[in-house]
Amino acid sequence: MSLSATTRPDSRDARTRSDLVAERVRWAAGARLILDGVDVTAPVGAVTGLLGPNGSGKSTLLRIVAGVQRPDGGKVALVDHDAADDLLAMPRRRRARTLAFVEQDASTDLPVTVLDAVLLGRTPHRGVLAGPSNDDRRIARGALERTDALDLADRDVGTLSGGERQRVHLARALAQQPRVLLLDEPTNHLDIAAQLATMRLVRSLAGESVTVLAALHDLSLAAATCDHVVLLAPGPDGGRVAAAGPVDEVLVPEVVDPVYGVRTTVLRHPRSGRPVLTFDE
Amino acid sequence: MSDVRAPARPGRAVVTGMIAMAALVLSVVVAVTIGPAELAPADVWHVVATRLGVGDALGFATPDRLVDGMVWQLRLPRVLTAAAVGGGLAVCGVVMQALTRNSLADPYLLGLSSGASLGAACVLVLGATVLLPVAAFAGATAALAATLGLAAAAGRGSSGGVGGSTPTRTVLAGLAVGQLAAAATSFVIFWSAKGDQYREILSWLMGSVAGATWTSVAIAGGAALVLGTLLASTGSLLDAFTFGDTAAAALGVPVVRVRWLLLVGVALLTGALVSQSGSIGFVGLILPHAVRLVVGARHRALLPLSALCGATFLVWADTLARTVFEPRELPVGIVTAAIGAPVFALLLWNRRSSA
Repeated sequence: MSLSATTRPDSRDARTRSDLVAERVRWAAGARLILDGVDVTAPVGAVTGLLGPNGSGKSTLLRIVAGVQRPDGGKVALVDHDAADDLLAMPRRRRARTLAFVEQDASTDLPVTVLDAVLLGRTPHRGVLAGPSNDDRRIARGALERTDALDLADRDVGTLSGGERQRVHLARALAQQPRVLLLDEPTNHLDIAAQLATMRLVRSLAGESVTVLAALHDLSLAAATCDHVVLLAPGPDGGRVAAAGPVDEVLVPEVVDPVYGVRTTVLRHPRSGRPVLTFDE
Repeated sequence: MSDVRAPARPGRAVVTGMIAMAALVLSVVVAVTIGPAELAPADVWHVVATRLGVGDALGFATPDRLVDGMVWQLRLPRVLTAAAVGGGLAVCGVVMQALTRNSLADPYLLGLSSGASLGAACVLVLGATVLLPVAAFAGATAALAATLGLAAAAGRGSSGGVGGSTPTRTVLAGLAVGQLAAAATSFVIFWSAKGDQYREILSWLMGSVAGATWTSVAIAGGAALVLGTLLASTGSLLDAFTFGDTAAAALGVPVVRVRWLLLVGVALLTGALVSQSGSIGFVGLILPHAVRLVVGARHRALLPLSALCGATFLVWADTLARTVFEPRELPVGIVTAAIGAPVFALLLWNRRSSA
């Protein structure tokens, strides 16, 4: 156990130079097509925002990439220069060591401490029936430290604020030591300070060559924090990719207006120079 | 160099476990000495020692035949069966609560016990006693499927849409299934009963270990040891369900397969236990909640501790049942219901404030 933990920094560089690529992903709920041939590329070491109105299939796409839901068609892979690692065909425990998924509003009625919640992230790294080892505890505490939540370790998850809980869920994901981090609306229900703190944390994780794909609702927040964005548009035949690319190319009125049915004005943030979007009917 | 080992958090659970184990052994030893017949504790242990073949070594004379029969044929099997049933039901409760993410889940409330009773009663009426555990298992499985199916179907029509079965809806479905199975059990016995066999209706519906024999000990104890141990070893898997199915799947757990395997295990164990004791309520509900208050929600500690405490609990509940209104005997289910129903009400009350 200790071997995997100590050798990680070296092996990590060697194994993480690959992009997350989803190709022609299709999924239908009964007769209703939710995703219709969606292509998404999330480059390594960057934050890719998955945008789109309600019903455009953002969450569904994340669940498919996470392997939680089977698509009706399409491929999801980690692509290195020439080698591709098929994520959908990967054994689930190996996939859970490769990729972590933080879903929206995950909660529990059970009295669980923060440390125990984060230790769940070690599940795919140990025997199916085994309990957490001391190494697991060390890694879990490290993950909590990384998300600035170590002082919460002994608290009950049910007593945390929204922002604190989100940091704990991120720590649980980090305890999986993933190459890819999937986040479904990580700033949902958070106050502004907690939103910014969460996105700053996500950005710094990307800086450690974790590939981040995050579904986001707030376009200005996406514009401020993402490197790339993929804009999904709902349609009668399911969600499709309306545009994908750098923030400055996708978050412009010509692309955003028809997808959301609003009139967009793009301003410049006076200090960061990033786009800020405002909307009229 | 400082001690880098993480603080020994499991230590508390291990100590609690040893205390619980000691309490169970002590309870069995003491409970066999309590009862209507005027038997001194020394006489009782005397019989047990002789039967275990260590009587000569301890210098005991051969015990009186009447005393021997009372202790070895009546009391000891009864106490051991109660321990097996209590421990097994508590494990079933924990597993069901984790898998359905429903703090109100329990083999009795979700109708499994009543289903198992029905299966057992049918077989007894037909005279095929050999099939007793099998029929009880079939009954428990059918009842479980009916309850979960009904809860999911009832959920589909509602505004909730996808998720379907809320805890409340599942308990209501369990109530419907349980009542139907209980009515059917009464009917089966009513239709076929001769003389005072009506009393049997009560022992199936309320649960009782009054008629326990060494065969009961073998079936209930064997099932509790084998299936109970298997189920109790799945703590890590159950922990992965803490934040729901999606989170468990994202942690690499084959959610559907695990759920079905473990629920079938629960139905098997419930069937085996109920075939010997009838449907004893609330054990799977009270004990896990009480133990959680002490050691927290981690299943690796919760499962074995609930088993030990459940066994101790039912040993004493049954001792109460056979002594409070001496010489009358209550079905033990009345005692567990008297304690369990208020606990259930308290749980509902707490849910109300959090929902």
